[in-house]
Amino acid sequence: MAEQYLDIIDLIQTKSQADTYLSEIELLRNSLYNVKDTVDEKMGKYLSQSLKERILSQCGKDGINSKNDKEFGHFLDGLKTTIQGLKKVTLHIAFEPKSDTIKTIFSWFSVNHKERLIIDVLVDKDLVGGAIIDFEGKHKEVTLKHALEEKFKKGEIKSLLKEI
Amino acid sequence: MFQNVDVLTILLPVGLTLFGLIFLYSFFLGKFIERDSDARKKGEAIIASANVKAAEMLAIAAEKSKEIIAKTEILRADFEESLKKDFGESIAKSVGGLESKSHELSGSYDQLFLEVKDEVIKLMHETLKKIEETGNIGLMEFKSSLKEQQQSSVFYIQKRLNQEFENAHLEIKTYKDEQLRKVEESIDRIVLRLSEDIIGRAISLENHERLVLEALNKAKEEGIFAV
Repeated sequence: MAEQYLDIIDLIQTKSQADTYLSEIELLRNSLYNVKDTVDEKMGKYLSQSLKERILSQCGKDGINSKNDKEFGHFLDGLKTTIQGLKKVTLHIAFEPKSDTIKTIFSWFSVNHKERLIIDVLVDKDLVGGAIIDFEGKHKEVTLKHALEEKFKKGEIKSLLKEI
Repeated sequence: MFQNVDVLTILLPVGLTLFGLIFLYSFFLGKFIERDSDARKKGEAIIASANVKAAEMLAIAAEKSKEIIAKTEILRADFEESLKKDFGESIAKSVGGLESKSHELSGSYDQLFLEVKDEVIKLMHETLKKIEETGNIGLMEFKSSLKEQQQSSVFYIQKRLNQEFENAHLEIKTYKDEQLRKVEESIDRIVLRLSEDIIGRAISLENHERLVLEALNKAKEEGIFAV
């Protein structure tokens, strides 16, 4: 991954965020040859505030002239390719996560997985609790549903119910 | 000139010869015609005479024929009479002989019939006796066989009934077990769903997060995130 874009990439934790930013960058990229609006106007029009700030900040650091369509266009193309190249881990969980939960999960990956990635969260309440994890073709289910079914198969819960 | 003399020399004798031959032919032809006329007259006379003679002979022959036919008729009548007479006598003699022979034969036949009748009656008695004996034995054997078959049938029916009963029992048991299994499975599913629902509701957000992090830790331990 290009180090140039790390500060911008830090904004992205989930797949939905990545998709949103990619869409915004695409719109801005396509508008560069439109002479009617200034670059600043275009960025204000197509980009979210946080992304705009990060991009301008990065351009300042790297000495990229955002008014130079060709130069700025090349920067945006690189950013787009970098975002598209981020690895994705899919998590099936049993509850609707709040932003804090996303942050918590993302922090876990920051600590436990050195490589930068994005998480794709899918909600399936039948899982009861825990998560199903899919990453790079690998699959792992650690859910309460699975655990309960296993216990049912062994007859442990039935025995417990009889005792009750 | 010389040639004309030769022709006359040849033609003259030839002409004379021809003339002579014609003369001779005419002479003999006249003689022949004359003789033929005489012969015809004589022939006609002979034929007339023959006709007269033939008529006479035919009349005689007819007369003779009538006589012969009359005599033949008389002879035929006599012969018929004689034949009838002889035949009647002969039949009478034959009938007499036949009656006599018939009586003799009738007597012999009566005797023979009586003997045969006795023989047949005797044979029938013996046969009936044999039949009776055989029948008794057969009846006994039949009774015995029937009894055996009856016993065998009863045994077979009991065996089949037992088999059918066992099969039915087994089918009922299998069906019952299957239905019980389905009911239990259904109950299990309900209980499982209820458990999941109750547990799912009971889990707090913090516990959900904790469970997700536990899942991630477990996945990491199993190398899911290994690059």
